[in-house]
Amino acid sequence: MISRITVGFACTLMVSFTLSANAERPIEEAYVLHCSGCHGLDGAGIPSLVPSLRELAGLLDHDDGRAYLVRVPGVAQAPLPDRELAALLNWVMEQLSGVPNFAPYTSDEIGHWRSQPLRDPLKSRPEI
Amino acid sequence: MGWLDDQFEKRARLLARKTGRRSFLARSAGLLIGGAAVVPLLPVARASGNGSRVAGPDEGIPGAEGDPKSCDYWRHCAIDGSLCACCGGSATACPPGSEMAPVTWIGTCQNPKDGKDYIISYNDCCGVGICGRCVCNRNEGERPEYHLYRNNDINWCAGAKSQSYHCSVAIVVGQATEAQPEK
Repeated sequence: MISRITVGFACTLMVSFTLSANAERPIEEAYVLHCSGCHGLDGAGIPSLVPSLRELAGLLDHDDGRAYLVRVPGVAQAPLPDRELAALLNWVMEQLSGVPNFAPYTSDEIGHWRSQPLRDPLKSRPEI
Repeated sequence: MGWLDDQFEKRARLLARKTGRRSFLARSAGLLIGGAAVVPLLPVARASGNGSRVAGPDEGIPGAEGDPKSCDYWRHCAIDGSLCACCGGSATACPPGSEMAPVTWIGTCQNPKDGKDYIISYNDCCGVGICGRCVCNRNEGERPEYHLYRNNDINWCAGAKSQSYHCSVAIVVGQATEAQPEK
């Protein structure tokens, strides 16, 4: 648009509006629709702008890493139901990051951590 | 045998005038493998394999290709900006000299030919001054700016070398099982 606003933002996991609770949208499609715009179809992100979703395994080495991935604003504030968000995150961890022996997120776990969104994720990340 | 050659030539020319090579190839492929080739597959898997971050030119979409210079073109249902087809590019490619931004927003549009919803990637082309031709502002499924990832008023040149907006493309990324929830 002519009056475009310049926005330099680091997207985390970009998700959008709620899918119906019973929707059977394939996870890959949910990824394309809700995440790929910023993270790319390959999940590689953009250096210094958008985090890569292909290198998340290291975060899980830290005690708070598992919670961090749910508490980042793009995930925590996503109006996706817990169950669908868990499925999408699990797909990202397994398919894009290839985390070995990954223990899948449960709906309850997602619900718990997303209720405590990070106020400053860029500050929290180096600590992890 | 001259009359046979003439007839063959006339038929061939008639066929060429009435059909496009792309549609012929797409239909032939569809017949050969039971129609599976007609619907583009989601590119996530192959993108993750070859490192491609954005979608390539789309092929095999049912129905007429339409006029990429028209705001009414079905895949422009939520575009906001100059149509790249009017600026030296196409509906899926940036004009020479401009760069396709790696960050984009994603929506869905319904193809009137088959009544199916398709996922559209609205990439901005950047690095050259604004084109200004064929300005099109359709907002089906577009949301206010507090939903950044569904807003088309934002300069989606983020991630490009230059954030100077030139025009927008509308790339079909794949078929959707349903329209985006906002619609």
